[in-house]
Formats: sequence, structure tokens, C-alpha cells
Amino acid sequence: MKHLLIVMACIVLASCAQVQPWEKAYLAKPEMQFAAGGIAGRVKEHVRYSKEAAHGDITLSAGGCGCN
Amino acid sequence: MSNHTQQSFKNLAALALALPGISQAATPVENVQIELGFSQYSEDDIKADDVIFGSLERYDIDVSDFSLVAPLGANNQIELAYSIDEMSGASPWFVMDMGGEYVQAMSGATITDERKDWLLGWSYYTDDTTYSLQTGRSIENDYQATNLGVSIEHELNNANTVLGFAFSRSVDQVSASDRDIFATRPKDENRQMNTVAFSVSQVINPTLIMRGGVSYEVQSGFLSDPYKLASVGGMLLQDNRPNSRHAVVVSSGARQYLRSFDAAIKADYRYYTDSWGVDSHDLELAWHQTITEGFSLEPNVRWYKQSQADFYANAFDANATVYSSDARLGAFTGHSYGLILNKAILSAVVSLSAEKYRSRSDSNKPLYDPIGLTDYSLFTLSVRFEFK
Repeated sequence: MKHLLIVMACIVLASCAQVQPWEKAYLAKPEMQFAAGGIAGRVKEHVRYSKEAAHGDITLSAGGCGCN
Repeated sequence: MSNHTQQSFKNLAALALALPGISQAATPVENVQIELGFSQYSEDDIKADDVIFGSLERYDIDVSDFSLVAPLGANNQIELAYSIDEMSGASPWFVMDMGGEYVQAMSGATITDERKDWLLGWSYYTDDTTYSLQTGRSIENDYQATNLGVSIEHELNNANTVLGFAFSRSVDQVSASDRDIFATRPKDENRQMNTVAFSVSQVINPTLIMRGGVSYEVQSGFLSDPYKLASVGGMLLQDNRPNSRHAVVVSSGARQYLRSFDAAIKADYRYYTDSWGVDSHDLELAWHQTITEGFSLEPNVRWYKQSQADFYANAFDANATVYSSDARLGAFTGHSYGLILNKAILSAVVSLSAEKYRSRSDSNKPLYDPIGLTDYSLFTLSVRFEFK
């Protein structure tokens, strides 16, 4: 499994094109961002934190609460 | 390529170069942005057959949010967020053994609490690196949390690759609010949480970007629920979880724009594993469809599955040293379905988000069957203003 993931990563990275700044218009659209999605996104994440045992992500995390 | 298509692409390219963060590096927002939001969270009633006594109604929470993002000169950005949660209702208290069948004892529908949470962030931008600092505080009548975090994002490869590092720390205090009635509940207990995360995002082509990363979290201190009880050797004792917890998260995501549909596909996956024995998978998919200029719809679905914690059960032998009957530590699968509507009105963007979540037990053994899992509805109405 580990070897398969490494091979897949290499294939993906090898297929990366050198995208120039003037070609990034679609990538600049709000729907193409990885951000939490404003207030609605933050509220969803907080609810999931309080109702599920798993939590966390790969960006800065906010503090705890008495909800979990 | 026709003349019309050539001109359309030139217009789009010019727009791309004018947008902050696209030409070469990330930059602060250009204008002050303020967002106001109101959310309503409502849990479905617990099934009467699952309850031995207490309220069938569960939690309702109203959340009011304020958020501000503003530039400070050419290289700095500040963020401020403030929210107030008004909570009321009933909560699962303990599980009773009715001769091999287990039922939930609920509290009365008398719990009320208010949580105030604020977050302050500052980011500094250079040609290829963004440095961010974040601090926040959360206060309830029985819980206080103070957090601090730093992050660095470094761009490579003509800003097609972004490497990210983040560290955050939270120091919390827990004191049960009703110790005058229940003297065994905790008073002035502390817990700490430290998290470090690494990420990489990569532009694959003009319409596809992917991201992956890993984080490691360590919790220590008082990690039990201050109100819940567990049946241990036939006696009801305070929820007692291990005083440390180590967790690893592996996360990946992709955003694919579909030019012929004027739509985008969002896919995010997270794997979680911790020292309490909980493993989980979390997959979320969304389709963002532009209807007209300034109007979009985004249906979304989520699938979540977790295994149970090592010390979770509905009842324990007298020799158990760590124990919890909190259903949130049981084995279950959750599904959610949602829709987000965005509409530009004058200089504002109005968003309405709706989500329905259902969870079901994955255990076929009564001793480990999580009782009283939560189904809920969540609605958020927000308005974002940009002051140009």
C-alpha cells in the first residue's frame, strides 16, 4: 500500500504542468480554494468536532471547547 | 482558435493577473471584508425506546458570528472573528444495564450555557512566504480555552507549489458548573493540546489543484467528560478516560474546474488514528455550479466512519481502570447531505447553507452498541460585505 501511494504521488507530480500566472484564472475562483468556507464552514467544523471522536486537519487549529 | 475565443481567454488572463495572490505570490486582501452570520443547530429527539428516564429532546444551539479581514499596508493582513453560542437542552448522562439490554439515561432539558469565542490573526507577506500568527480564547461557564498558533507557507516553482507548516497550542481549564449538587465532578482541571502540521499544495494544470498533508497532535491532562457517568462493577462512576491522547491525521484534497460546465468538483479525504483506538475515514464531495454571474449552488455529501475507543462500552467490570460510555466514542457511520446557495446582492454576497446529518451504530454487540447517536440539522445564513 505504501509503495502504491508513492508511485501514485510520482505519477501525479510528473504530470504537473508549469502553469504560468496568466493561466491561473480558474484556480483563483473562490470555489477552487481549500479554505474552510467562511462562517458556515467554521460552524460545520465545530459541530463535527463536538459530535465525532476524530478531529483536526493540516492547517492551524482553533482552541478547544467543553463540547467534546 | 476563433477570434472570439482568443479575446475571451485574453480577458480571463488579464483578470487572473489582476487578482491578488495569482500573479506570483500570495498577498493580503485588497479591501476590508466583513461577514455576519447566524446559525441554528437542532438535534433530533432521541428514540423513546432507547431512554429509561430524562428528556427525549436534545440540544439546540443558536450561533451568532462576526468576522473581519482587512489589509494593513501592502504586506500585512489582520483577521478578527467573534462568535456567541447559546446552548440549551438535554444531554446523554449514563447508560443502564437492563439485563443485557442497554438504555440511555438523559438529563432533563434544563441545560443552558453560553460560549463566547474570539480569534485574532495577523499575517505578513513577502515575495514568496506568508507568516501567520493566531490567538484566541473561548469561555463557557464550565470551560475556558486559550490557544496560540503560528504557520508558514512558502511558495516554490513559480507559485505552483506551496509548502505549509503550522503549530498550535491550546491550554484549557475545566470546572463542572454544578459541583454544589454533584461534589464528585471535576474542579479546576487542566488539559493541553499541541498540534504540528505539514502540507503541500500543487497546481497540476490550469484547472486542477491538489493538496496533501499530515498532522500530529498530543493531548494531555483531564480528558474525561465532566458530567457523564459509566457503570463500573454495577456502580455509577465519573467518566474516566486516559490522561493522554496522541493522534495522527493524513489529509488530501482536490479542486477540479470543469470549463464546459462552469462548475467545480471538490473532494476532500481525511484519515484519523489515535492512541485511544479510534480510527476514522472522512470523505466529502461537493459540486459547485455557477448558475448565473454572482449566483451559485453547491450540493454536497459527506461520509464519515469511526471505530470505537479501546475503553468504550455500555458497562464495565469492577476492575476497569479507564472507562467511558459516551456514544461519541463508539463505532458508527455518519452521512450528511447539504446545499449551499450564494447570491451577490449589490456589494454583498448572501450565503445560505443547510445540512442534514444522520449517524448509525456499526456495532452488533449490545455491550458496545452506541446508544443515542446524534442526528441533526444545521442552517447558516451569512452576509459578506466588501468595502472597496
